[in-house]
Order: sequence, then C-alpha cells, then structure tokens
Amino acid sequence: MQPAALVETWFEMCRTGDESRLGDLATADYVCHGPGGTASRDGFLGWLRWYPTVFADQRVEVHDVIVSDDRVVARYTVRSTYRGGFLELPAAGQPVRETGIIIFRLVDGRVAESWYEGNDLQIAQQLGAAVVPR
Amino acid sequence: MDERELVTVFYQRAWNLWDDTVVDEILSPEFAFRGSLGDEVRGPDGWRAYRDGIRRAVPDFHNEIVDLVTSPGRAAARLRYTGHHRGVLLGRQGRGQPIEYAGAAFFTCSGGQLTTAWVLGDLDSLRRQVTG
Repeated sequence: MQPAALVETWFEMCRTGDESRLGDLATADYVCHGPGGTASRDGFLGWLRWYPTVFADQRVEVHDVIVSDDRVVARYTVRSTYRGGFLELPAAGQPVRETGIIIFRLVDGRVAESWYEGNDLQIAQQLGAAVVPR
Repeated sequence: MDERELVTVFYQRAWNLWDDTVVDEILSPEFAFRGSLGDEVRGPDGWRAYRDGIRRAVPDFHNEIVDLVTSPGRAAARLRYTGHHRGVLLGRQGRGQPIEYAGAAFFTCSGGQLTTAWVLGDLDSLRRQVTG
C-alpha cells in the first residue's frame, strides 16, 4: 500500500473502528506509543474499539504527510461529537476538535510502530474539565 | 541549510543554547509558531517572546530530538523535553523540581528558513508534574 493510501485507510479504520482492516495495515508485532504509554497490537485493538464510540461522527482532515525511508508522518485534525467515556467527563454532545501528529515506522509496507502526540489536555478542556490555568 | 539542518539548529542552538544570533537566519519573517504549550505566535520576535517565557519558567529547558523525518519543504520531529521548573508554568510556581515530557513537531521550510512550526506536547503529563 502506498504511504498516502495507508494514512487514509488508517484514519478510516480509526473513524469506523473497523478492526478487520488492521491485518492489512499493521504487522503482527505492531507496537504503538502515545501519552498513555506503550501498547501492543492487542492494546491498540482495545483502543480502536473504544475511540469511535467515545468520539463519534468523526470528520478527518489530514493536513500534511511526510514520507522518508521507513517513516510516514501525518498531521491531522479530527472533529467529532463526544458521547462519554473520556476521563469520566459527562457527555452532552459536545463538539471536539482533536489535533495530532502520528509518526509511523513501516516494515514491508505495513505499520510496525507508531508514535502519537495530540492535544489531549485541550480536549479535556473542550469537554468542560477543570484544568490548571496557564 | 536543508530541512534537517534547520530543525537541528532550531533545537540545538536557538533553544538549547538560547543562541539568539541564529534566530533571524533560520526563521522566516512570517514564521508561524504553535508551541507545545498551545500558544500561537508570529515572526522571529513572536517566537523570541515565547522562548523567553519558557526560559523564565524553565531556565535549563532542553529539547532532545528523538527522531527526525524530512522531505523537501517538510520536516517532523519527535521530541523529549527536560529541565527544572523554577518560574511560573501552567499557572504554577516551580520549586526547582525536574520536568520531562514528550512532544512532536511538524515544520514547513522555504528559501532556507523555517516558515511554520506546529508543536504538540504531552501537557497532561506536564500538568501532573507541575501540580504534583
């Protein structure tokens, strides 16, 4: 799969929670890294079942993609509607604007490892969480 | 300078050494910067003001480039930030305690200068460190 198509399919998998796509997209020993720590493929599947139910009606915009050697980087925005389940924050259909950067490491055209950084603290603020002032 | 050199000089000299002499060379006059703390500033002087705020809060703020990916006109870096919290950060006065958090940055470059930088940091981790 070409890198641009891989990125598009990856976000479509995350948007829909369609875990059947993971076999084509990621290696059997896929490892993901993010603010919550490091997870195995099974850990990622747990997140994939959780994410689109908590942040529903996702509209994905990929702003930029970098491809170099075995790395693919995507900068993106996902707009969604909060349905509950994030940091025990109550749901009232709040609009959510998630921004992030994902760096993928590919092996034979599939994702072997990924690193994610996003605006999780700002999402909590969008959902009404009391967070320390600047 | 190519993309890799620009990002390396940005972190290793403009940030880690607080070397102001490279700022006008590597940042375009229209440089748009979104920092890991969420602030958005414009131009070299806007970035200097952001830098000075960080320096007051964390005088030994250090950016480690963990991974750097480049292509023509684009660069992305994975970062590890460290230092000691001595000033005001996220609304809290520091007591000299060590801080460490992860981040990622996306750059565009043109004409041998950085034109945009869009940076995300693990602010929840940082928040827990400065309020703990």
